[in-house]
Amino acid sequence: MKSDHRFRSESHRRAVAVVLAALLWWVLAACGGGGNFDSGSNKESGGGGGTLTIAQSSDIDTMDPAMHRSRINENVVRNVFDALVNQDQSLKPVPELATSWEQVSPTQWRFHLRPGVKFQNGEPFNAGAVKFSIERVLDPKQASPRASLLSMISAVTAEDDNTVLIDTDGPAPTLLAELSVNEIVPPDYVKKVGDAEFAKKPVGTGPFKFQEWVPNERVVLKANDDYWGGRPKVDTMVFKPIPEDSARIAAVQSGDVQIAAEIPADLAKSLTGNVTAKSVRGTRIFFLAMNVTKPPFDQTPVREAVNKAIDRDTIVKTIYQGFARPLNQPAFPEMVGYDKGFQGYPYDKQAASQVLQGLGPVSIDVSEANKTLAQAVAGQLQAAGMTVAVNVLEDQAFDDATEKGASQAYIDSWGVAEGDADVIFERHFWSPARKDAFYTGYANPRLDELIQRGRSTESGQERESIYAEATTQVMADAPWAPLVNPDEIYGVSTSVHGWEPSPIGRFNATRVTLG
Amino acid sequence: MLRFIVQRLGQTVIVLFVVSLIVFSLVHLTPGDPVDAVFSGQNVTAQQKDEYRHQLGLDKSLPQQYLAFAGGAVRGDLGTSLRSGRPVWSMIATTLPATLELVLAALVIAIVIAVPVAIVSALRQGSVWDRTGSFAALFGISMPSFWLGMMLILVFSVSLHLFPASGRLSIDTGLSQLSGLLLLDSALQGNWQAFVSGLQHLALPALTLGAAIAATLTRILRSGLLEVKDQDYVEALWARGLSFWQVLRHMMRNALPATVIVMGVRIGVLLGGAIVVETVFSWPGMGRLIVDSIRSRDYPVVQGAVLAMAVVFVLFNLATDLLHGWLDPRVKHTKVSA
Repeated sequence: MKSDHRFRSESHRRAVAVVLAALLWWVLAACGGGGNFDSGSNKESGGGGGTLTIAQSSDIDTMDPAMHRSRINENVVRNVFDALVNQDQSLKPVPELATSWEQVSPTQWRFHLRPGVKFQNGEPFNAGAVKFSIERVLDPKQASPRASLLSMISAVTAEDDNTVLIDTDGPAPTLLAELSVNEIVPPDYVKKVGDAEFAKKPVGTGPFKFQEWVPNERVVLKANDDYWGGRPKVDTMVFKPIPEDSARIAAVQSGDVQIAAEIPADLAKSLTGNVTAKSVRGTRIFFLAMNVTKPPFDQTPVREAVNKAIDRDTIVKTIYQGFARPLNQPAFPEMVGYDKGFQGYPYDKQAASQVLQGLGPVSIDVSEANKTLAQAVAGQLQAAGMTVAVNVLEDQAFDDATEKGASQAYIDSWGVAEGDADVIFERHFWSPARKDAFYTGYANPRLDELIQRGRSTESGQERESIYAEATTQVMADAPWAPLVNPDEIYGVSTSVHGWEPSPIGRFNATRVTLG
Repeated sequence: MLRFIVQRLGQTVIVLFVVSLIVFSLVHLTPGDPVDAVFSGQNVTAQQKDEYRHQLGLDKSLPQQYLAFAGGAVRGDLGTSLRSGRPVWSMIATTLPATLELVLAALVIAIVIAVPVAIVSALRQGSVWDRTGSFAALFGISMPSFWLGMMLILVFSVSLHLFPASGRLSIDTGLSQLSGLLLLDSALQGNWQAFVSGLQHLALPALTLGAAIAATLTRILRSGLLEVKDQDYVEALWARGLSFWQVLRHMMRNALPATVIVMGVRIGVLLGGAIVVETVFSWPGMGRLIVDSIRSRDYPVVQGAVLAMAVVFVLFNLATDLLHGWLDPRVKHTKVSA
């Protein structure tokens, strides 16, 4: 073709243009410099200052501590606000805004408050603030999703400026744990600006002051110079929502963030270079629940055999890469009510298959997040002769199926940040609770009575023995096959010093330095 | 022209009505309910849940609920989020610009890549350039955005530390948002630190999304050019001694209308692709908003956000139609006389 030579010379020019366009991206990158895209971090080595950026799997719903029920939200809010008590690494209550407390009677507690503490707007912290904050959560008009956590409280009285009396309906062994997740707000400020404005410009007594929340992008907190526990060493704390697991890992590997939370165990080994995996014993219990009203799980021997057919050690090794503990009862060792001496059902495939062989096919419902675990469990049940299908449901559809009792069997987890056996027993094995959520449909009057006694007995040896008996009973009836208690894993940049993960997921940054 | 636009906007109202009806039905027919989602895992009695349902108006019949929603939407009130209590329109107002910025940047990248590649490979059909271009286009179409995004992050963020892996902007740039299009805002305010930061954050997601569009665009434009390349009028133009650029202009004039139409239809695919890219790069756009609110059964947000996306889709299509009419005058005449 006669025009070919023209095209050829043009096509060379075009090629050059394409290459130039590609180069443009590199130039753009170069002009910003490498490594840090959030200015501030690593600015000073070893000493104070800098920005600590943390990636969690979702955004917060609100900055008002009374108006949420999510752990991720709590992790952010807890840096701006303090509570009367805190929980240490083994979930034991330790002083925070209350310096000490004593139980006056089985149903009355006296708290001595830390003197001289001020809210970030200068308003004094005192007994009135404690009374206001707790009553605000309990006020039906407030419609606080936290109200049910504190429902055992019948009265809050300010004895004097620095002393508060809390009365409960009956003995309340979980009171301190619940108070540790209910923060104190400034009464005058909240009354003056109203709830909506307070959520936008929250003011607490915590180590960080709120600066801004750009929904779905970031929450920015600044160090509180006047914090009663000493000014945090970092200047700024940023929380970024990064829902995708691999994107969260990429963010910490690339230096966008310094700490990435909720790393799945199977991805923990992909943390390399200047990022290390830090783990801590978690507070979630994973279990296989069997609907005792649907065959073949209406037969106790079948449920026992399922318990024997599951090799929890292998699951811990393979699915969790060792970042978990096998469970032989519906509790983990740090929980009040955990029975150390309990044997459970040791793995015995032979014995299990004698029962499970030849039963009709069963289906295990599971939400997307727990699919791998369900497949492993199903595989082990198959190996013992059961025909098992794993049915993956979208989160809400899953909750619907389990709460209405439509599931034949399901695998789920339950968080027990309070560290008390009552949380599991009351919700999953106490028959009156079946009205709200059917779950396994399990009911046993003897166990109901034990649960009632456990709830209304003061902490101590007697309460432990009640739960030991309850554990033996519920595992004999076996509506559950308890599975594992996984660790919480974080990807942490080596530039972060002085930070330890907490079992309840909190980010205590007061002693963190970057460098 | 004006009559054409008015007609199209009239059709838009019908489209939006149907979309709202479909979204409403889908959202309400999926299992699970927002009250259960709000109180998930909590110690709340069925009675408390019913009270909350009543408070939100969820105990009314579906037609009543739809009328309440549609009535509000007509007045510009999309309701408030069940989860965060924020007005839905304000959530969309902060989220939609992020998606628009991503989609527009991706379009620019796609055009910058696809037009030269298509021209070279069409005019030098069968050459090394053509084969490379066609292979790249096939690769681009077959490659899932999810994978490409992760690869770009691994290479450019994790290994080379050239671009950030997530988000839209560094903190501390002091940028106040006007339009929500960060590049526009920072340029208007002369905040070049924010502008560069915005570009850096935009680079990888826009390239990921742009690559997929570029691939499609290259193939369509290439075949369009191939069709006109050997036509008599092109030969005649060469014979008259016109320069390469003049001939190319005439060829493009005939190849572009079909390309624009096909791309217009594919805008839906593009917006869908944006959802995937937003997930990989934690881009705070509409995709994230919709997925999050579906998970928590936040009905008002799902409805409002999908409606907003439908409006964007319709507007993009209107724009392609207008562009098509401008590129090909015959279209305008037939449409107006129709």
